[in-house]
Formats: sequence, C-alpha cells, structure tokens
Amino acid sequence: MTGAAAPRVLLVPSNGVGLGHLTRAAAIARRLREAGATPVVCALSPLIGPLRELGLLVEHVPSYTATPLPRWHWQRLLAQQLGHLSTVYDVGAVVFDGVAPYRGVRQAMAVEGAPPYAWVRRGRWKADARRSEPVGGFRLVIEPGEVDGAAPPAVRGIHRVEPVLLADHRDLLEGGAARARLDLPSSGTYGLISFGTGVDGPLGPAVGEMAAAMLDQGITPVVAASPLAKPPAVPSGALLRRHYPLAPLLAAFEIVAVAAGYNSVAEVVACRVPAVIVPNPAAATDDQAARAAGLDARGLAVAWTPAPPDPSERSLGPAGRPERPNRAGLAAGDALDRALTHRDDLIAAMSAQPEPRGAQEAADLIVELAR
Amino acid sequence: MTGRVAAVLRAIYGWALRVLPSRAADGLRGIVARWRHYFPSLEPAAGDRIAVPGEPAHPVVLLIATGLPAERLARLRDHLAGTPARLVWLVDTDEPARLADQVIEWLPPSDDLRRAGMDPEAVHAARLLLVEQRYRPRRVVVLAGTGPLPDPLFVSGPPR
Repeated sequence: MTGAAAPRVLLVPSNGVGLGHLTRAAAIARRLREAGATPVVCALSPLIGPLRELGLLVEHVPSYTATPLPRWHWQRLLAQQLGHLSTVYDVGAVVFDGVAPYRGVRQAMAVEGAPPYAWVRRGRWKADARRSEPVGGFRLVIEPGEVDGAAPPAVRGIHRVEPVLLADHRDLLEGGAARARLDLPSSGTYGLISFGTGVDGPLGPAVGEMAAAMLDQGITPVVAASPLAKPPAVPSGALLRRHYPLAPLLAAFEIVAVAAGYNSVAEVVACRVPAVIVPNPAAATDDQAARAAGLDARGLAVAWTPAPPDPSERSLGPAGRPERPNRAGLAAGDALDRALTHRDDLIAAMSAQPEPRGAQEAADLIVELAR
Repeated sequence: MTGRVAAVLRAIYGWALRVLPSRAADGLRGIVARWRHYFPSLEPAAGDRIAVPGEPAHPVVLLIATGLPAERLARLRDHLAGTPARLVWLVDTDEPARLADQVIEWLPPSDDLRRAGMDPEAVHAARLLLVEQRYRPRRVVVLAGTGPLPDPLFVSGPPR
C-alpha cells in the first residue's frame, strides 16, 4: 500500500472507439491529482497523446476490437495486466468506468490481495436496456449525475455525485485563440456538428441536414470527427476537424449541434454554448432521447430528433406524406432557428446552473477508498 | 477454509483448466472469479500464458520497438508482414492504433514515469519479465529507430 498521504489510483476506462468513458476517467484523474493522489490511466482506447498532454501517467491495453487475440485470451490478458499494474504501481484502488465490467476486470478484482475496486457508470439507462447491476466485489459504485437534474430511483450502495466533466467554462480558450487552435480563419462565423460515433450510423444523414441549415444561416459548419475514426465524408461547404478534447475550444463556435452523449451535453452546458442536442438512437444503453428532452424542457438546449434515414420508418400523414419529420416536430433548420433565436435565454439558463463538482466528489470518494 | 481444502480445490481447478477446451475453461474461470471473493484463500491457478494468433509452427518473436516514431513503426509493420513468425510488439508510441492488427504491449515512456515519481528501470524490467512469461518468445529482437529495415530472416530465425 502506498503512503496514506498520496495514494496511487489506477483508472480503467472501457472505451475502444468512443471517447465517453475515457473523458470521464480523465476528469476524475485530474481531480484526483488535485486531491494529492497519483492517478494512472490504463486506457483501452489508443488515444494516448491527449492524455499524456494532460500530464497523466498513461498505460495502455488494446481493446478487444483492436487486437487479434481471441476474446478469451484478451480477457485473461486484461486480468493479468490489471494485477501487474496494481503491483508495480502499488495502487490503493482501481476504478473501472464502463457500462458493464469485463470478465478480466472481475477476475483481477477477485484475486486475493487485490486493491479495492470502484465502478463508475452512467445512470441514465434506456428502459429496454439490459442493466448491469452492481457486481459483488466492487467496494464502491459511483453514478455521475445528469445536467438536467434527472435522478433515477435511488439504489442502495450506489453513490450519486454531481455531473462529471473534464472541462467547463473556466477552461475555455477565448474565441480567437480557439479558432486559431482549430485552424479556422478568425473572420468567419462557425457552427460545430459533433455527432460522435453516430456519424457512422443513424446520425450520418443528419450531418448533411444540419450543415445545410447552418449554411442557410450564413454559418460555416465544422464537422468534428474522432481522431480514432476514419474521417467521414463532409458535406459541401463544411469543414472537418479532428481534435480531442474539443470542450476547451467551444468558444470558437456561435452554435453547436452535438450528440446527446453524457460528456458532450455536460461540457456544452458547463461551457455555456447554445446547442442543438441530437439523440443517437444507436446508443445501446444510454437513454440519449431522455437526456435531450430533459435539457430542452429546462431551457438549457434545443432537442432535435432527426427523421429515420429509411423513409418507410417515417409515419405517414393523412395525405400519405410523411408527418412532421421528427418526434420533436422540428426539421434541422427549425431547431437551429430556435436555438439561435433563444441564444441569450439559453446562455442565461446555462449560466444559472451550479458548477458541477461531480469529478471532485468522485475523486474524494476514491481517495477515501484508496487510503 | 483450511489450507488443505484450499489446496485440493486449487488442484481440481487447475486440472479442470488443463483438460477443458479453452472456451469452457474460460467459462469455468469466470464462474470461479465471480465466487472467489467468498473464498479469498483460493489462489489463482497457473496457466497464464497468452496464445499469439498465427501458425503454431511459427516462433513467437518479441520485437522491442520503444522510442520509435509512428512512421517508422508503420514501415516496420509492413516490412515484416509476411515473416514466418508470430510477432509481439513492445512499444511506447502515442499512436498504437497504427498497429491495430498486431499483438502489442505498451510501455509508458521513461519521462512520464519519472514525472510520476516512479523508477523507469524498475517498471520496464517488471514489464519485460511479465511479457516474457506471458508469451514465452523464442527470440527477442531490438528494432532500431533509424537505418535500414531488418532482414525478416533475422527476425524469424532460420527455418527449422
């Protein structure tokens, strides 16, 4: 065990291609360091450079999808590696962030002499999602809170904290500096389209719709793509940028359209940037539709649900024509109009939100566990 | 639980892992892992070797490629693609995704370890020992960051 004054903590975010769990782990790692602990982030994602630039000590185990190892051997390797890292770094606690703990994590956790394990998991589950209940062996389960204040029913043994996020308005670069960092000419007006992994799925067509709506408003659309993914095709007139983390650069944009993932939404509200929030229907367990609707209802953002790409999935009106193109009753242009018209109201509502302290609260709980 | 009972259980468990097909053995390992916290004296069984995919007759070769730029790594990967060997790469690159189709082991750079108050030599030595035990390579080849690319025969060794 490390000295009580400065415990080491191993964080294991479960991302392969996405960035959500990794970002949340980085947020908690940052606060752990401020609390005097030494975080070590064992990333399954290959996005190592930005974590090192944050000054974090990084370890890397390729995710199952990024290695040719058979699944069973990968699980064994993960268990071995977690045991090894726990010993080499003499960690006081291990924190897994993911929807469901891998078998390798459970194996490592069950070994005699293993440090205590904590599990950080999102709380907003889809109604039809197969929910992972806390697995025996975790000494601490933390659910980061939602920006719109929605709270699922209390569950014994689960610690709810305020929203967890890596960057807020205090980390924002000024607009000109942010545009320079993104290599955007300083004279333009820009709108961000950041649909995460949804770009390769059902939100692909929505990129074009939103880009066209922005161009109609005289705003140059900037499509954000993950540095890990293959660059997507960009609509005519739009720019492509691949940068992580994007939150400190949000002041570069007049308006943003982002997928309703946990981190994107928390960052947009904390950075006080007017936003159109777009739920990704392909999210397996995360209830993004509820999150978008919750923010819209509280006047923190405008929700937009794109029409399904397949016309046969759209409901037909009496004349055999599609009904309004989405459940929210808005086309991309309508949603953008609404966000731009109520820009000041949105900013005022976001500014009235309390400073999210979830990462700090989670770090405090973890430090207590590690000591 | 007495030591004797634990030893018997451990022996049965180890025997079962050896005789069962790998998938079934892993299923058993998962069940035991779930229940092991009730029996903390049950030691993990032996057999932690990780199989490197590829032709079983080809030797496992550990390529030590730390400190190499990502471009050089990509060139080496392409250059050694047809080598009759099962390769394991030990790297510290910021761009491991370039080796996504390879078996890699990743090490933190020494400067990062020093900044975190760790002894880089101790961490690296412990990792090398783990990697050696994990894959049991027949050859270990240190790849240079500059100069001509190595002859694949030097990597795989002469045909047996």
